[in-house]
Amino acid sequence: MKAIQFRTIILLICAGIFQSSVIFAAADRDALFHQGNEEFSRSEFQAASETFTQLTESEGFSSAVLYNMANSYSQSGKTGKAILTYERALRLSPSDPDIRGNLELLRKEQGLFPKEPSNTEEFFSLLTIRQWSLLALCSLAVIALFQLIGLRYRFTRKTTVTVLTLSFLAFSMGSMGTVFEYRLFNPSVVIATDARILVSPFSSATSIGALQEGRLVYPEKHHHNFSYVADETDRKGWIPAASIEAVVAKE
Amino acid sequence: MQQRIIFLHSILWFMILSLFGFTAYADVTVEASLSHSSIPVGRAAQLSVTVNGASRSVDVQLPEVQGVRFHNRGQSSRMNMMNGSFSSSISSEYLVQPLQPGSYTIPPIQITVSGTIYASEPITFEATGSVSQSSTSSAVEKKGTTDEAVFIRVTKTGSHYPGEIVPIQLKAYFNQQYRADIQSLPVLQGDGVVMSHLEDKPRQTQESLGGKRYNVLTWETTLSGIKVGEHSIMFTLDASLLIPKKRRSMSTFGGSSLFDDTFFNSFFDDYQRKPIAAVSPEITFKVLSLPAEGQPIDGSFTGAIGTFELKVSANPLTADVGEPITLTMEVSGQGNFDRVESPVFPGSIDWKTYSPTASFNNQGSKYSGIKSFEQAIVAKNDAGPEIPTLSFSYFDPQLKKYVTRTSQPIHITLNNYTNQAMQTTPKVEVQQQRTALAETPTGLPGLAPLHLETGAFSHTISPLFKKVWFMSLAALLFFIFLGLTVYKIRLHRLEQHPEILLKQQQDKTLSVDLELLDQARKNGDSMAFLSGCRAAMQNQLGSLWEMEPSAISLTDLTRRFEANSGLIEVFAAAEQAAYGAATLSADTMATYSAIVARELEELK
Repeated sequence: MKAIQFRTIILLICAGIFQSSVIFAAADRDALFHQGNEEFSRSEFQAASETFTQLTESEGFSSAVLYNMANSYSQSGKTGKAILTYERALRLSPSDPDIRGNLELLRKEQGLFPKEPSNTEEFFSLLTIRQWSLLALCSLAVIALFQLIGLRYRFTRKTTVTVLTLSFLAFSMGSMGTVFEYRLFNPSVVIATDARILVSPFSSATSIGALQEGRLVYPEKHHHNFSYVADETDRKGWIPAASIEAVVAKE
Repeated sequence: MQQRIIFLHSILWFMILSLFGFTAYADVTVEASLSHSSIPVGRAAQLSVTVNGASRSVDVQLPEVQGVRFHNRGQSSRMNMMNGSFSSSISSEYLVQPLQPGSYTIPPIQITVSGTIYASEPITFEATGSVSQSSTSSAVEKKGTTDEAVFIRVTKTGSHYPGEIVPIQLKAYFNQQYRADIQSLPVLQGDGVVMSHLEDKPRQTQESLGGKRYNVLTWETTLSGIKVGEHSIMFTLDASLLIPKKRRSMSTFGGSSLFDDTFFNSFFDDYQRKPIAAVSPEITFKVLSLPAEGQPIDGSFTGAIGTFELKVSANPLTADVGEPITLTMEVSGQGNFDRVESPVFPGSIDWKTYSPTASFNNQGSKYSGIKSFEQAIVAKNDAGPEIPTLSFSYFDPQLKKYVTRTSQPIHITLNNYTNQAMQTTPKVEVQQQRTALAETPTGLPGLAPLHLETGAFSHTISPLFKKVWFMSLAALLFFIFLGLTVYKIRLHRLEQHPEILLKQQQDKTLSVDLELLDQARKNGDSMAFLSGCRAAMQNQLGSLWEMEPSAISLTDLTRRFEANSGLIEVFAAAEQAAYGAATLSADTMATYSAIVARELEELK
């Protein structure tokens, strides 16, 4: 009996310690977040971005923190970093209008106009990768549910064909949309102000042209300190790896 | 008649198209081969990648091999028609040049044909120590003959700067006394210098040297130093001497025959190819570092070396505030145009600028022409209606100093500055804005406000479909769908074929009946055993004859089976036992049990 009481007390103490540590961590997190916001409102954009970076490094990614960090970078003139951070925030909250609006504004201000999308790209950009994935999952659920209900009730042939055809079509669209959008899920962003595409992976190699800070590029391979990238206009060449940063950093 | 001709034409075209169609979808095979398995450092071997069965262009992705350099030598395609069947192949040629001695493996080369990826087998080769020019010559059959047969001459090069374009002339001499084929274009051997792409069709002339006539191939090309220092370079060219095979004497009298003559050799004999390498004398290419002194620090120098002029114009010269103006900047002259970048428009709050576009109009050569940049600029206000001076700097190797070309300011007449936008921002206010913006030049107005709640944190950024819960749920739904589909197919099959179900029931009933029999036999219960035998037979035969099992009697059995059937004997014994007691020995029960099991199984 005494042993049971002792175990209960130990368990309660552990639970209390865990809960209080969670509460303290959340409080620290909030304090750091508000500190960043205050620095931003005092126009100390550099300090604000550093505070938000510190918060991200300790707690992980949050769309709100990334968004505020991106705003700080925008205001301190670091276009590349700002676009990179907005893109990261968009990966977490793809439909957030603030993130989309600020990113669009920054790109417009910097003359970073994207190339005209093809019909396919335009079609698949109707939904985000998350929405395409959900469409595929929901249609799979409908198919499974229909099969399950079919055990109890007998549907007419017309109903069966209609439901299954539409569901398979939606599943195919969802899968294709997911695959298509996933290709564009992890670009890299040019963060250097004087980046150039080179024909060979060494610094004195011939330049193909300049890459504006904030442009998206898609790395294909790496060689020492250089990455072979394709930019939005399908130009391909080598660029110092330090000049770009991936939106989804490798763990 | 005419209809018949049309019909025959149609058939012919159909056959041709079918053959080509077949070719397009023929089986594709990929082969990669290296001309030599051992290559001296500084020399190159030929790598051939052949795609059989491909009639369109193929995309060859060469792997990267540490310490090995690949030089593209072009692609060729071939179509054959033999015995009515078409075959086509595309060959891509490369020169493989090891940079250091050692053993190398070229990993599988990926070739994309019509969207499908094929891979070749890996190739292993050895790179041996470098060979001197004399050893190269000794590789050829006759030392000394080669020097006279084929050799290369290069125009002199002096001291240059990194990136500077140095025009040179490469001449390959072929002694007219020999017949020779060239196997490759001249290849630059050496580090720190790159050569521009050589033309496939060089200029062909004839020259006389030392009393000998030579066919001369001339390439006009350029060299460019990429590393500071003195670099020893030379040029090599792979060729083949065509040596006629000696004819054997056909004379029955011995000695020389009528046809034992070089004239006839050349007509009737085929040639033997002897590979030779033409090598140029080694030359030193000196690359000096660019002087730090006098180098513009305003960013107007981007590595351009040569002699250039700058011309700037704007169109239209009269515009509204907010209307785009096209600024055209032309850099003309001679030099490394790949390093010529657009002059930078100075940062100004009066002008909004966009990224410039570039185009190069070469004037017959890669290092002279006009590079044009077009940049859209927009006046934000009427406070500074002047396009500021633009600068372009280059290094002049003749003068050995940096030169900066500067454009004149261009006055723009800004109309309509009394419009709505300008009325709300008078000049004084604009000036105030300029001062304020100068203090915080990087601020971006119009951003949506900060978020005030942190929201949920995540340690990784990954798409939804890569999350564990999503994948688990999708897998679960998929297996539910798969399981139910299989189950429904099975149900449907049973509905379509009720005999399957009937047979299954029959098998089950027989199995149960035989089990009861066996149980009764083990218990030594003769009555139960015989009753079980009768029931088992009635059940099986009832299903088989489509009769009520209990209605089956010994008469039915004797009518349908032969008289010596074991089943009749057992059934008779069972009927007899039903009307009076019967006792069976264990052996008899075992015999009856075996008869019933065997014969009923046979009846199924």
